[in-house]
Amino acid sequence: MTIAAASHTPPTRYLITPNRSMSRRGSAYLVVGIAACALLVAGSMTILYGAWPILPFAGLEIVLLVFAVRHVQNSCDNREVIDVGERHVDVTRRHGDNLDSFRFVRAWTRIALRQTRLGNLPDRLEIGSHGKLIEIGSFLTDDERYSLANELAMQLGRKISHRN
Amino acid sequence: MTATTADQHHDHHPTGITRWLFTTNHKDIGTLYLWFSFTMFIIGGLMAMIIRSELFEPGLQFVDPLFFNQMTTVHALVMIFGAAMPAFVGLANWQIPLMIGAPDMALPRLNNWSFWLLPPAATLLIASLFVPGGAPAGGWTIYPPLSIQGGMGVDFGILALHMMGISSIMGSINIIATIMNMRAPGMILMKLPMFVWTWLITAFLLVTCIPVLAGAITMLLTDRHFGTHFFDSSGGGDPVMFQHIFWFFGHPEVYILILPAFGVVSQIIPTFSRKPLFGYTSMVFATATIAFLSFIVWAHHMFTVGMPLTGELFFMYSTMLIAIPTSVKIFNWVSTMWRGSLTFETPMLYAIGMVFLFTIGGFSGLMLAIVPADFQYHDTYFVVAHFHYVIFGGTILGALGAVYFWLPKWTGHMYNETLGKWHFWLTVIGMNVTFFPQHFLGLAGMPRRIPDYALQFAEFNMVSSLGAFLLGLSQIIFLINVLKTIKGGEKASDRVWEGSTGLEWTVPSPAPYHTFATPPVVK
Repeated sequence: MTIAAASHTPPTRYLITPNRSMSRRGSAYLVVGIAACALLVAGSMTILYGAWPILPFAGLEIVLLVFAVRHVQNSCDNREVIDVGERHVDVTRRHGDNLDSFRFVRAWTRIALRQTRLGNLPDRLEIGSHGKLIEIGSFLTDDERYSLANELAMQLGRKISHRN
Repeated sequence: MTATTADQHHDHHPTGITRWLFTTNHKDIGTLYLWFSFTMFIIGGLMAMIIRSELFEPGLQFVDPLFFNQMTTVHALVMIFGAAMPAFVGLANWQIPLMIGAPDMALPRLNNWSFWLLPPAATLLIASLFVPGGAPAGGWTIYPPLSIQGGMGVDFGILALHMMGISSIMGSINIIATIMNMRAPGMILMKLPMFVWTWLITAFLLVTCIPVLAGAITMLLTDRHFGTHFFDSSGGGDPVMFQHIFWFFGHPEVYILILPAFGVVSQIIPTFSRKPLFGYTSMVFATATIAFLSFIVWAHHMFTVGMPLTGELFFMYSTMLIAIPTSVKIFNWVSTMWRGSLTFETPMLYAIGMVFLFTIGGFSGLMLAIVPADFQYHDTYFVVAHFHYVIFGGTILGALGAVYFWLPKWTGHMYNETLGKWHFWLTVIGMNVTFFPQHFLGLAGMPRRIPDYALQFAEFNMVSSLGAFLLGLSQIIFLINVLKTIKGGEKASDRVWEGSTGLEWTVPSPAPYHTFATPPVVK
């Protein structure tokens, strides 16, 4: 997972993305390559020997492969963008197919860390104001979440509230 | 390649039976695979003991011929699909995320399902021994017409193979997705450890050839129960067609079994030679070449079936071609050891043993590749000797070496070196005493899959059986050693071996439940 803080003159943007080593295009090539091999083999067996029952199995396998790669790619596309401006804090979250946007008044925005499970570090980071808190950095590691909380708190000039 | 971070935060994990039933943790699933594999290894081994007891002397002593044939068939299926393949999937589960700096496999729930398909499949396969008509008895190749004529046990076997195939497919897709997507920053493909490379190529082989097996056994099933005549000559079908289809799967299957063992050896030899692997790039390309060639050599298993001369020549030469990339690998392993600062801990002994014994299996494979010679050797004990040198000498020794190599990382304790060496030497001696005389038996004309034989074969068979008993008993030492290591023993350092390199050695020993939650950076 990566957190990139790009410091513009306001707003300061935090882009949080999961660590992935293959691009969407790379995934597409991978699926096409494997599918081509599987279909080449199944097709050859069908043409050479009339063994057509291999084809549906190759097809099912390709469906599973597409599903698996799509699932992994969807998680690759997860991202959270946090823009800390002079007056507002904007949070845009993309988790799978869900896209959510939130705007908080900077002066009232606070950062909270919660510990919802056994561990050394808090596992839930929340941002919000006026009683409305949303979770950010859910796919970050505990360490990264903790350092992001510190960064945001410093940027906002707030203390982190620790909750259980 | 160096890692800058390797962290572990919390080591809490679920407990009790639910931990193992519902786990999505790659280490837990790896452990499940490895114990499952060992259990099947023992079950398959006990079947081998029955086979060798019957063959200890001429005549029928313990079992009737039908049961003997069931034993040879189920022994092979259990060992290939239940012991050897899951052993390396277990190693992949444990090691691949650790070696590429990933927190887990890409599809953890699929991973859980892949494993939990195996116990019911194995139960079906073994249960086939107890149904009317008994287990499949036509050999692991399940050739028609015997497999069409067999009893309900054949259906059990077919269903078991289907389930194991689904498990393999899901496991392979998971491995491909993990390696391609979840490598740590900086770990380009040409920096992957060889074990990971060999598994990536093996996974490609699996996804390409398992549908062929699935199609073939489905056709068998429909021939048996739904009135089709794919392979039934009485209805216009062709039994030889099954052989072509089966071996189109079956030959790559051999490389599915051996390539990860090559990967293991490529990790162990540099570690105990205290040198980088010689010719890394050529190793990668040699592995890929072997995988490619494995798809164009299938008919060398069926030279005697009656093929056009051109076909026989093609398959003979293409088979011989495999010797080239394989030799590249053996040359590179030997060159890695050349002028290295060698030490001979148990994993290194296994690696060297593997290289030596696999080479013998490779040479006998070359003998079998020669068409006129194969007409003499076909379906004799020479073939049995050949593939046991490849599968036991290559795959199983590789897997055992891998366990000794990574066991300190898994358990946090060093295994008992003395017991390890006893295990190695008894295994290697037992294996050679078992299988080497089978070359002579085959050359003298003893057919495979028979419970009784002519008197002229008595001495070598007795020697072979004694070797098999030694080989079987020596595995108890392995079990004791592993259990002792899990329970306690000298504390293992994080790096474990002086010459070890790679990300897996940067995490503490034992490897925490969660590792690389923060990806390391590979330079």
